[in-house]
Amino acid sequence: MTAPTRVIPYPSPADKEDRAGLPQWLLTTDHKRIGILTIAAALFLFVLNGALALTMRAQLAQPNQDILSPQQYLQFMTEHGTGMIALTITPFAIGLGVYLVPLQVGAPRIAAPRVTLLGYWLYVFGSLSLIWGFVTPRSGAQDGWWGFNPLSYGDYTGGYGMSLWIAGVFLAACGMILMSTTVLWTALRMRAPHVTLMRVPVFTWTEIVTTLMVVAGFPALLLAQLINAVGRIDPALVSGNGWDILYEELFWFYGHPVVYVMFFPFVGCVAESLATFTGRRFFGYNGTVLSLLLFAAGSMAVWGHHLFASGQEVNDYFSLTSIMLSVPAGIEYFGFLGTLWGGRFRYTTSMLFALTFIPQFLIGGLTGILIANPAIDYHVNNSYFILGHFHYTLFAGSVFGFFAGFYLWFPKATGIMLNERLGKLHWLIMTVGANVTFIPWFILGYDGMPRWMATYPAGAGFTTLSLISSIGAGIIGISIFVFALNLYESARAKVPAGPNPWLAHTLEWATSSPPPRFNFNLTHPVPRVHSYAPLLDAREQAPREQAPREQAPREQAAASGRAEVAGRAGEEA
Amino acid sequence: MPFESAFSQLFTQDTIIAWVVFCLVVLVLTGSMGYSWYRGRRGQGPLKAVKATRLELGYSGALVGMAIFLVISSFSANAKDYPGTAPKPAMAVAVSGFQWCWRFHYEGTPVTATGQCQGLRNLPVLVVPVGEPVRLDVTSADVLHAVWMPQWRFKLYAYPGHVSSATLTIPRTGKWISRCAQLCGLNHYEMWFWLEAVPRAEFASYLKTGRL
Amino acid sequence: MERLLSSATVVVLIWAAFNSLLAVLLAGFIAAGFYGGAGRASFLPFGIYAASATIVFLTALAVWLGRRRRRDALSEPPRAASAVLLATAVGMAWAALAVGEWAAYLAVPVLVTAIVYEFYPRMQPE
Repeated sequence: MTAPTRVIPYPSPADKEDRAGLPQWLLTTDHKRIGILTIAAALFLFVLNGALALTMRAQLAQPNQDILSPQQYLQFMTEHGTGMIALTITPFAIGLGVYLVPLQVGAPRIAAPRVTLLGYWLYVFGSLSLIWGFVTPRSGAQDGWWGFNPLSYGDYTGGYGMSLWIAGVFLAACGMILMSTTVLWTALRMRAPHVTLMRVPVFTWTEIVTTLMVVAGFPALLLAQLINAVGRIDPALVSGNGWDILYEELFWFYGHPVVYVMFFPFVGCVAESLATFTGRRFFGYNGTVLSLLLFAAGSMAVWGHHLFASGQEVNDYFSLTSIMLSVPAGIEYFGFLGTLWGGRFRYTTSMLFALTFIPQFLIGGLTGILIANPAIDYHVNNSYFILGHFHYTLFAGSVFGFFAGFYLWFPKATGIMLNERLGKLHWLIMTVGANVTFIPWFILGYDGMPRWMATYPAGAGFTTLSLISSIGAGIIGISIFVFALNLYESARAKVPAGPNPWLAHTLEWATSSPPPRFNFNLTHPVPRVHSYAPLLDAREQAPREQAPREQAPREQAAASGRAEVAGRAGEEA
Repeated sequence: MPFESAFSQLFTQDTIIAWVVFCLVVLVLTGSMGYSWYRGRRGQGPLKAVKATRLELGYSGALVGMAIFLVISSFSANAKDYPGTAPKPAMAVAVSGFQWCWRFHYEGTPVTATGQCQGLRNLPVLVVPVGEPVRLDVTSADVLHAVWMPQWRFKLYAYPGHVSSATLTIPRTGKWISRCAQLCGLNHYEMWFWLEAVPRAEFASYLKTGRL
Repeated sequence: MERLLSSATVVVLIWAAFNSLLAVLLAGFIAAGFYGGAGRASFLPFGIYAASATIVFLTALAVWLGRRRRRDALSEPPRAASAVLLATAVGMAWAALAVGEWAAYLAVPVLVTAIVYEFYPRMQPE
C-alpha cells in the first residue's frame, strides 16, 4: 500500500493549462516561466560577454596589436566584467532558485509572483541600459566593473555611456533583490506540510543563504551607484578622499557577497548532481547546512580584503575573516567527497561537470586563501594572479556548476532530453579550454603583469603565456558552440523525458516533466517527505512495500483516490 | 626588504599547504571513482548512508586548526611589512601619480623627477639610496592609481587628497620596472616607471644635481 | 540542532547573530588599532556592516510576522501588466541620467498608468 498522499490546493481553478504565445510568456506569473526567461536571457548575455572576452584575448595574444584601441579595450573589459557578474552569473544563480525552489519545497507557486516578474523586467531593462551604453560610439563605460570614483565622475569620464552603466547596474541589482526576496519567502514560508527546513534539498539551502546575502549585501551597491549618479551630474558634491573611501567600502560590501551569490547555488547544483549520479544521499547534510550559514555570514565579513593595498583598511581583521572561510569551505568539500565515497557512478554530462567542479573550484579557493594574506596580496593584487583566482572560481567553478545543473534539470523544465554525446564533448572541450586559458595567468601575475592592460610591449616577458592563454580562450569558444549545437540538436530530436529520467532524489522529480501549472496535481501529488531525499527514501523502502516506482498515470490516479485533500496548508511555528 | 622577505616566506609556506590540500582532494576524488568501479565489479550498489559524526567533528577541528595557523602567519607577516614604529627613513619621497605618469619629489630638496610615459619612452626614474630606509608618501593628483614594484613585492594605492606612507629598504643596487596597478583611464597600461637603487655617494650627488 | 534550524525565524535570527558577532569583532579591531597595514580606518566599515545586520534582523521580524498563512491579497487578480509598466517607468526614470530630464518626465504617465491598472479593479465593488 502506498503512503498517503496530499494534494496542495490553489484558490484559482485547478490546472488551467498555461497558454502559449509571447504575451503570455512576458506577462507570466508562473515562476517556472520566469525562471526560464531569466536563464535564457542570461545565457544570451553569457555568449555576448564571452564574445567580448574572446576579442580581448585576440588583442592580447601578441604584443602591441591594434585589434582594439585602448579605449575599446577598456570598454570591452568593463562590459565583460559587469555583464558576466550582474547580468549573467547572478541571474543564473537567482533564476535557478526562481525555477526550482517552489518545486523542491512542494509549493504550488512562488511567493508574490508579480514581484518576481517585476524583478525580471528590471533585470531586462538594466541589461538593455548596459548594452546600450556599451554600443554608444566613443563614450561607452570604460571604468571597470566596479566603477570607482572619481574616475567615474563626469569630469573624468565624459559621454553618457557611464551614466547608462550606472543606471543598468542599479536596475539589474534591484531586479535581483526582488527576485531573491520572493525565493527566500517561498523557502521559508511556503513549504508543503512535512517539508521542514531540515528536509529541504541541499540546493534549496544554498538558495536560502544566497538570497539572505542578496538582501543583506546588495543595498550597499544601490547606495554606491547613487553616489556615482550624483558624481555624473555634479562631481564637486561628492569629491574628496572620504567619498572615495565611502564608495569603495559600499561597493565591496556588495562586491564580495555577490561572488558568493555566484557560488552557493552552483555548489547546490553540484551537490544534487553528485547525489543523483552516485545513487547516495548527500553526505553530511546537517554539517553542510550549518556551514552554509557560517560561510554566508563569513562572506559578508571579508570585503575589506579588496582594499588591503589601499592603506586605509583594517587589514588584520579582513585577513582573519578571509582565511577563516576555509573552514566552512572545507566542510562542504568533505560533504562532496563523503557523497562520492561508496557511490556507484553514472558518468552523465551533468556528473562530469560536477566532478570537474571539485578540483577546479579548489584551485580558485586555495589561491583565494593565498591572497587572503596582505603580505602576498601586496604583490599580486590587481595583477593577472587575481584574474586567475577569480576566473577559476567563477568560470572553472561556478559556470561548470551551472552546467552540471543545466544538464540535470533541462529535462525537467522542457520534457526533452539533451544529447549526451554532444554534452560530453562540450564538457571535454570546455575543461581543456578553461585550464589552458587560466593557468598561465597565475604565472603572468606573479611575474608582474597588471590587469587592464590594453596591450603590452614585446620585451616584458608576457608574450608566450598570453598567446597560450588566448588559444585556450578560443577552445572555450568552441565548447560553447558545441553547447549551442546540443540545444539545437536536442530540440530537433525531441527525445521525451519522463518525470524522473535520472532516478534523482528530490521533490521536483516527483512531478511531470515539464511540471503542471501549479507544480503538483492529482496525477502528480507531493509525496510524504521524511528527509532531504524523499524519492530515494521511497525507493529504498520499496522492497518492504508494494513497489511505488515511477508509476504509470493509471496507477497514480487509482492511488490518489486515497488522497487526503488538505483544507489549508497548515500553520507554522 | 621586509615586503619581499615576508612575501617569499609566506608564499612558499602557503603554496606548499595548498598543494598538499589539492593533491589530497584529487586523491580522494579519483579514489572514489576507483572504488565505484570496484563495487561495480562486485555487483554491489551504492553504499548506504552512515552517521559519521566523529569524522565530521574531526575534520572540522582540523580545518579550524589549519586556519588558525594561517591567520597567525598572516598577522606576523603584516607586522613585518608595517611594524608599529617604522624605521627612521634616510629620505622621504613624495610619489604622485597623475593621468598618466609619475612625479617624484625628494622632500626637503629641490629635486623633482617626472616624465611622460607615452609609448613607454621617457619613463621617470625613482632613485633611492641602496640599503637605507626610504619612506614613500604616495598620493594622486586626480583619480585612483597604485604604485607597484613587482620585484620587491610592494604595492600601495594612490588616493587624491590623501597620503599613504610605507618605508622600503632596497638591499642591492640595480634598476627595476614598476607599474601602475589601479585602473586610471585610457593610458593606464603605459604608466610605468623605473626604480633605481644607487650607492650613497651617487645618491648624494643626484640630490645636488638632479642627474645621476 | 535539527529542531533549532527547523524554524524559519530562528534560522534568519541565527544568521543575523553570526553577522552581528562578526561586526562587533570588526569594531573591536578598529577600536584597538589592530590594522596590520599602511594606514588607519575609521568606523565606517563597522557602520556599513551594522546597517546590514540590522536589515537581517528586520528580515527575521518579517519572517516571524508572516508565520500564519494568510490569503495573498496582492496576487489577486493576477494583472501582470502593472508589474511590467512599473519596471518600464523606473527604467525610463533612470535613463534620464544619460539622456536628460525629459525621460524622467515621460516616465510619470507610465507610472500613473501602472498604479491605475493595478488598483482600479480592486476599487470596483466585489
